[in-house]
Parts: sequence; C-alpha cells; structure tokens
Amino acid sequence: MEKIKITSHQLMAITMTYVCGASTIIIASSAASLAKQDAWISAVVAALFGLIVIWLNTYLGGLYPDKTYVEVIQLLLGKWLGGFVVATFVFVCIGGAAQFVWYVGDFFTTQYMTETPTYIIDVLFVIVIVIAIFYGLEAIARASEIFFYIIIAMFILSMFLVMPNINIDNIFPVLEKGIVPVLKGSLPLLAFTVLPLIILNMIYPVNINVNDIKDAKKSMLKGYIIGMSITFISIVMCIFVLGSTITADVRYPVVFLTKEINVGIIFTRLEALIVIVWILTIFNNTLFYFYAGFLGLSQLLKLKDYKKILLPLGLIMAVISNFVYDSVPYEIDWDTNVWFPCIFTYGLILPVVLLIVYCIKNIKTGNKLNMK
Amino acid sequence: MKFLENITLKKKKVDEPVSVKNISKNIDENVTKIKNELGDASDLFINFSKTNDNEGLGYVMIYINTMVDSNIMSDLSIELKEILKLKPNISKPEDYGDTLFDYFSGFRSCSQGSEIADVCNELISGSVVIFVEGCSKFLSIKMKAVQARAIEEPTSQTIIRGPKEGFTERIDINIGLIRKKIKSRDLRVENLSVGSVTNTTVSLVYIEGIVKDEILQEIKNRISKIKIDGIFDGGYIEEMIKDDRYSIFPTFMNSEKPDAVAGALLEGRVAILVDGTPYVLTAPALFVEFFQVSEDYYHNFIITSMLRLLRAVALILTLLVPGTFVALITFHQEMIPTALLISIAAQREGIPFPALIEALLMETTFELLREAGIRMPKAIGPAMGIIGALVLGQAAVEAGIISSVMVIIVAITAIAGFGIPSYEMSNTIRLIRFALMFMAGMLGLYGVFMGLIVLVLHVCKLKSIGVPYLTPVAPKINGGNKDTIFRFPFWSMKYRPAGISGTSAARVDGDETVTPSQKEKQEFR
Repeated sequence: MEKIKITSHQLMAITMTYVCGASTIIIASSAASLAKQDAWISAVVAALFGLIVIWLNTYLGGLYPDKTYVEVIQLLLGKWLGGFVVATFVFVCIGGAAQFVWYVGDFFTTQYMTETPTYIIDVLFVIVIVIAIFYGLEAIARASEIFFYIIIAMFILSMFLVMPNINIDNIFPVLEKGIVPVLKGSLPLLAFTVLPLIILNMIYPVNINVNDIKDAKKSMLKGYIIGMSITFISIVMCIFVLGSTITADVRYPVVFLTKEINVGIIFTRLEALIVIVWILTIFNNTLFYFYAGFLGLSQLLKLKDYKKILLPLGLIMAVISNFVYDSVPYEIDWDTNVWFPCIFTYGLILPVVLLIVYCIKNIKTGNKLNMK
Repeated sequence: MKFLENITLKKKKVDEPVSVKNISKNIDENVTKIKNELGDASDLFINFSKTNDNEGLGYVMIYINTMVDSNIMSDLSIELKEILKLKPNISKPEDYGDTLFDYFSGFRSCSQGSEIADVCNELISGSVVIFVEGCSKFLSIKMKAVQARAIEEPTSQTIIRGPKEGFTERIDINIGLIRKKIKSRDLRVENLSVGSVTNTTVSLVYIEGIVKDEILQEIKNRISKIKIDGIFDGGYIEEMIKDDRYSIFPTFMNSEKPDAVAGALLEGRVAILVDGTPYVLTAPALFVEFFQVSEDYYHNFIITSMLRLLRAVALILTLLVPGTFVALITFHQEMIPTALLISIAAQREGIPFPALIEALLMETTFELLREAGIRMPKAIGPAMGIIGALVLGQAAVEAGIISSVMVIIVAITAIAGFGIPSYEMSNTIRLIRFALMFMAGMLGLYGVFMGLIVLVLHVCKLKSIGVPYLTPVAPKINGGNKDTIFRFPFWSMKYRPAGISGTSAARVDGDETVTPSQKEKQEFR
C-alpha cells in the first residue's frame, strides 16, 4: 500500500471540489422544482445538516487514524457481514462514478456536440480518470490545488459578469408554502453534495500526517464551506436571474444562466467558463468515487499490487456508464427514488451504525479489562 | 569472439608478473611499456637526456605534445636539468623522486606514483611525466595547455541589464567565475568523473549550510550510478538522472550565465558543471523557474512582476490559441460573437480544408521555418525570412489555401512561444500544443479540457530530485509564493524557498538564528 501523505491545504481543495462535484450546474434545477423560489433556503438547511455529517465522518475517521473507511467497516462488522457491506459499498461507488460519467456524456451530447457518439466522450473521461489514479493520490492532490484556484477564479468571474441581469423580485415571496417544501428541496442537495462526503473517509485519516489531523479537520470544514457557498451562490443567482420556474424547467440552469452574460458586445456566451468549472469538479468527484471503489475492492480482496485492477475496473466503468441510465426521465426517477435512499444508507445510517458498534465493542472490552 | 577474448585476457594475466604493472628502475623498459599502453601515439613525445651531456644520471620526460603548453615546457626542461645537476650528493637514485617532488610541488601541481596505469592517466590529462634512472617512482607535473576561448557574452541567453559574461568550455574557468561571484568559505566544489571512455570531469558546486543534504546526496548518488561511455554536455546527465525519464518537461535548469547559477546556489540549489560545455545545470528546478530570467532581479520589482505575468499569458496563448480556435471553428461556432463569426466565415468561404488541417499545415510550416532557420548560415538567414513572410503571410492566403485568420493565429502562437524564456520549456509547450490541436479537432473544447486535465496531472506528478515540480503552488507553501508569478521586493523575500534550501535562516536584514517555529513552517510535502 502506498504511504502517501497529503497536506491539509490539499485536503481542503479536494473537499471543496468534491462538494461542488457533479451538482454545480444541475442541482439548482432539482432544488427549485421542489422548493420553488425558496431553494436558497434549502441550500442553507442542507449546508447546516452537512455540518453534522462532517462531524460524524471526521469523528469516525479519527477513531482509526491508520485505516480507511472500508477497513473500519470490516474491523467493526466482522469478516462476513463487513465483507458484504464493503462489497455493496464498492458497487455503489463504481456505480456512482459511472453515473457521473454518464452525466458528462449526456451534457456534451445534448448541449454542444450533438453528432458525437456519447461513448467516445465517456471513454475519454474514463481514460483520464484511470490516468489520474495511475499517477497516484499525490499527483491528484496537487492537481486538486491547481483546480481549486481555477474553479474559484472562473466561478467568481462568471457570477460577476452575470450580475447585471439580477432581478431581486424573483425570490419573493419567501416561505410562501411553509417550511415543508424547503426541507423537501434540501433532499437533492443532501443526496448529491452532503451525504457522499463519506467517500472522502477513504483518504481522510489515512493519507494525512498524524500531527496534522486537527488541522486537517479544520481544512476539511473550510473546503466544505467554500464548496457549499459555491452551490449556494449558483442557486441564488439562478433564482435571481432566471426565476424559479425557468430554473426548475431547465436541465442545466447554471449553464443557461451564464448564457445570459452580455457585457459589451464581445463578452457574450461565456458559458464555457462555468463548463470548465463543472468539468473540473465533476472530474474530481468521479475520480474519488472511482478511487474509493477501486481502493475498497483491492482492500476487500487484500491485493498487494492494487494498481493491477485499475485497468479492468476502468473498462468496466466505461461500459457501465453507457447503459447505467436508459434516458433522462429514467435518470431523474433513479436519482429521486433510488439514489437518495442508497446514499442515505451509506452516508448516514452506516456511519451511525458503525459508531454504535464501536461503542458496544468498547464497553465489552472495557468490561473484560475490568474483570481481569 | 567473446570467448576468445577471455582466453587471451587470461593468458595475458598469467604471463604478466605483478611487477609489470609497476615502474621498473630501468627507464627504457618503462618507456616501451608506456608506448605499448598508448599505442605509440604520434603526439607522444619522449625526451631522453642526461645530467651532464653524455654521462651522469639519465632521465626522461614524457608528455603528449598536443595537451601541454609548449612555452612552459622549455622552461621546465632547463629547470629539471639544473635541479638534477645541483644534487650530485644524493647517494641513492631512489631519492631523486622525492627530491624532485619536494622541489616542484612548491610552485606546480604535481604528484608521484609507481604504477604504469597512473602514468598513462596523468599523460592523457595533460601532465609531463618524469622518470629518473634507478628510481622506481615517477613524477608528474601538470602542464595542461590553456585551450579556451575568451569569456564572452552568452549567445543563447541575452539580457539588457546585468552581468554579461558567460561560461566557457573550460570547467576550471567556469568554477572560477562562480567563485568570483560568491566569495564565501562555504562554497564547495566536488569533482566526479563520468564516462568510462571520456573520463569527463563533472563538478558539483554548492554552498554548505544552505544546500539541503538529502538533495545533494541524491544528486551524488544518481551521478555516481551513471554508466555510459562518454558525456559531452549536461544534457547527458540530465537525461540519465531525471526523476521521470519519459516526461518531456525539463526538470533541470541550464544556464550559460554565472550570475544565474550563483543566484541558484544562493537559494540552495546544486550546480552541475560538465567539462567542455558552457551550459551549467542547476537542480532541483521547478516549473516556475523556466519562466524567470536572471534579469528579473535587476529591474524594478513591479515592472518585473508585470513582465512575468506577460510570460504567463504567453504560456497560455502559445499552448491554447490554435487548439481553442480549431475547437471553436469546428464545433462551437455559437460561442464566437456574431460579428466576429461573420467575418471569419467570410474569410473561410473558399478554403477547401477543415480548420484542423489548416492549422496543422500552418503550424508545421512555421515549425519547419524555425527549424531551418537555426542551422542556416547567417548569410542566407534573411532570405529565409522573406520566403516565410511571403509564402506564409501572403501567397497562401491569396491562393485561397489558408484563411487570413489562421495566419494571425499562427503568428500569435509563434510570438507567444518566443516569449517563454527557456528554450527547453518552449519546445515542450510546442509539442503539447500539437497534441491539444488534435484533441480539439476531434472533440472540440471537451477534448481541450481533457487534454489540459491530463497535462496538469502530469505536471503535478513530476518531481525534480524529489522536489515536487510545481512546488510553491502545489503543494502550496505559506509565504513561499513571493518569487513565482510576482516578484516581491528583496526586503520582503525573507526566507529561501522552502523544500529546496536546507536552512531557514533569513536572507535579508534578519539574524541568522533559526527558531523552531520557522523550521516547522518550512516543512512541506
């Protein structure tokens, strides 16, 4: 196993890109369809709930500073049950990664290159991910730092340029139908930005220097807050500029938003800026899903040279990505009815169960010690 | 054949007694042995003489005529005769060796030995070897001729302001130039020999106390592991000891200018000098270094920061302009502002090629012109320019093969390419530009993005002697970014670059003590 250590600044960058993830340009649509003009409140609710999730994850990671999430599961739940849970977790990770690859292919074939086969786009994306993992976590962490600066710069620039189109009236009335739709609206945000954070537990305590763990917790929180603010700003801007109805109807509201940019005559159609942001964030997101699945599988099978399964797994993901969703309606159905319970189980229930098991085990061993 | 060789070798070993390797007391025997070893080279001069004209003690001076300074040779032979005459009271001839050594070591670099192999080594490195009858030791005196051009202005790295002297082909002169810049007791010079046939001298120069020991050891280890028959330039060493051998990015800096090398040494880097080349390597080299020139430190810091920003823009332009243009023209016409789009479309109306082919055609022609221009005799150079300007700029457009926008694109790319100070880095970017153009031609902006992601990942993966290539940026070092894109004023650049230098003492107006907190700050990964 490689003993790569990353700095807390790198962890911050990773968390930030990971939180923005696949959702940057899509999530405003799902949130607005449920919460209407109050989608921005949903984002705040989700972000606050996310603080609990972050605390839970870092606490769980802090219990075993030299073990990944997968190893912790196996340690706490035993060989067979743990093995089963890990196997399903690996499946979810690889499946999730394939879903993101599908998003990329779908986005480019519907928006820009309608005549290019989706498969080509998917395969190129998977190739780049496999190259990244082949280069190792160290290179990925450093690249995340570079991406971090690019994302921040591009995002701020595009949001700044779209500012002249703001119409404040779009967010009124606030809380028209009470709090329930707002809470409902935070569900997609939880499913795509907050709960998947558990996957970062595959790198969080293991690849951090023991002395830096306190620092790392802080920087993880920092990255989370920056990422959530980007999500929040994109939702707010969508509602400000487009209004909740259009935001809910458009498939990629933030791209639609940046198409509105019209500064002078020459600064038009600058949606490429936000597409760059999205490509980078979804790349990092897919990368860590795949990394978690691939590392989890190699730890489950106790492989010594874990890079050997990289290429086969990449091929499998490339194939899955092509048939993971039949169509866009199927995808929307899946995301609301299947993905949410699934990620809720792995991102929230499983960590809580693990903590309970840890407590029970500790009490048991404590009793034994007392008896001795 | 190898089998036969082995047999002959074995035979030789059996035949030769141990004493054959050593010098015998008989001069003639020694001379024949040396002649055999050196294959009776025609420039091997052997001067027999005796202390008194035809009698007295016999001695011989052997040297390779093409290697020694003939002016001093005559002085030496007279001196030698006088010395041997003046010491007639020495009873044993054995003692003559020591006497001569005592005499000459006062003012010449000389050495003693007793093996034939050593004699040969001394001869080929430009020494005069002296045998005295009856003495089983030899004396060698360094008389290497000064065959060097004068110290001139560097041809490849020209500047406006600052020291104009450049390194020469002689390693001792080069080390002298560095010593002239850094008058410090801590400047260390270590000589190594690389190349089983050429035995080229390679010197490591560094400043003790500033250099990081791990880096120095690593470089020494790697150089000592080089197994090659000969080297003629730092390029050989660079390629042999690179961290990532297949990467096209340069991970060693080379410079022709003593001030640049001295600056690198002050930051804790190690200079690798190779005899016979005016290019000195410094390592570890970071990505940002290839966009800096020594002149940056001689001008106002604000102006310099602006110039460095300009170079960053040059990098982005030369890397991305052709690829993005091809992608926009081929796949994303809607992203071009309408007025511009109409103008471009009108120009490309009669062009028979797709944008990718057009771009490749023009870029290749430009690269050809550039490549041909380098090795062109100076007299024909202007003719080349005329052909380039006319063929590229006008005829191709008028003939309707190339659109005039493409000419502008290629021109921007070319000019931006020359804006990168380092020739190595500019070549690397040239190659990557073509790859990005292909990606753009196939998959539009998506292809360009993916190519860039792989590029960033690759650069992030690289290391130079164990130091991450993008060091002050990724991994980010707090306070380490004062000399990257912007050059901060000297009074604010308090510390040496972390990760490269082994000391955390302040550079400017600080006491030289190191506090633990500073040391912690400098640790990084």
